[in-house]
Amino acid sequence: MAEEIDDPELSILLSRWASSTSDFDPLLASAAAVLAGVATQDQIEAVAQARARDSELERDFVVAGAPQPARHRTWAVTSILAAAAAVGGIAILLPGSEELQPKSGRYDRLSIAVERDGRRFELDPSQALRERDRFGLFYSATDEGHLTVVHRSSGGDLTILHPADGNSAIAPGEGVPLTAGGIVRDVTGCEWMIAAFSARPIAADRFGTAIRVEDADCRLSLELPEARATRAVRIVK
Amino acid sequence: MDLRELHQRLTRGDAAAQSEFWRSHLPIARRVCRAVLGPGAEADEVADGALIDFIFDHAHRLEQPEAMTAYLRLICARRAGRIRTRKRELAIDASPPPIEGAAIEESAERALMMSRLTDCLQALTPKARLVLRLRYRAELNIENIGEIAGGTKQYISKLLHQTHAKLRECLSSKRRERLLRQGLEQHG
Repeated sequence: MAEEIDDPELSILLSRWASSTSDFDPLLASAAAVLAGVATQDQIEAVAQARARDSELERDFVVAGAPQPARHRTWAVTSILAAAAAVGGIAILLPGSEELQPKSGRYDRLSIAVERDGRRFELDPSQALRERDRFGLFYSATDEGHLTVVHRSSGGDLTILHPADGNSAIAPGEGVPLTAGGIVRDVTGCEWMIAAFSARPIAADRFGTAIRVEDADCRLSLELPEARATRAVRIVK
Repeated sequence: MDLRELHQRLTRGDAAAQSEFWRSHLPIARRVCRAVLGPGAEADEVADGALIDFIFDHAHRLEQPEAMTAYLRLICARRAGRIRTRKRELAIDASPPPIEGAAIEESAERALMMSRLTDCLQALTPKARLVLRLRYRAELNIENIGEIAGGTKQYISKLLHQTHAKLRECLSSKRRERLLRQGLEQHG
């Protein structure tokens, strides 16, 4: 490796640096149309749904000078939940919930939208998924990387919820829906859903060694140092 | 010039329209960024970067010309907000991951170079960084850079030349330091 930096190498580096923040954001474009009062109905609905689940967008709105309407709790997840319900049998999950803090300074967040007893809401870190819940998953991440979501049954069996196609790669984004989702059924004992954001793919069997659950009180411990952020959600009857 | 016409000209890459939009919207972009990050060079630089990206990459993708200013405000708010949040998190988690000296892969090397470049860029003036963005992000010629950043062709050309030299020296120096460190570790 040469010690000196030459012009072509410098040009490549500078081009990469200068282009590093340039992504056009269609959702912000819709939001801008709303702010400017020229939005189509589709844009208005998309933005209202996004604002309800995306605190960053809500903040951007305020900072950018928009009036502060009441937060609408309409869900963009409706279509996903409907799709999940249509699939029916995937019946994944299955109480108390626990948030494991991100291990670094990145912005990785898995959001869980839930429909329960006719009510739709975003699952708080202190809440658990319950039997009969319909749910959809969304992520927000500032960096590209990988996201793996697994279900651990009371018997210790692991099911990969995401990715469905083996490709765990994610792009930076806010409130990006995942195809994973479904209806919680047949909960037996101590079950968990665990999500892990990582810079590199995490093999499914790695979760088997990383997850420890105390049978007595269903306490979960997760040792996954390669993950940059994790979230674990209890699934209860 | 009305918004629709301005949008059309920006979409065509019209240099005069780019300069006009830059002048008319720079105060707006900076106001938003300063509201989030506080007054200062950092906020202004975020605003500059957002405005450059908007003019040269985002404007033509907007369906509604009337939404141009609002979109600019939103991307300024988003970028400044993310920087503010990142700074808070960095303050909490300030320990960088260890770098394996001997086993750096190419991608890691590239990431390392980007990290060094970021360090080296911090030693430049905000004006020099703005000129670099206009050159490498917007791919403007010297004359158009001068119209936006302010300065004659000769001044911009000289500034770019000096900036390149400083960056080459800074990056080379950092690379030599690392190689020296590796050598010492291997023999030490």
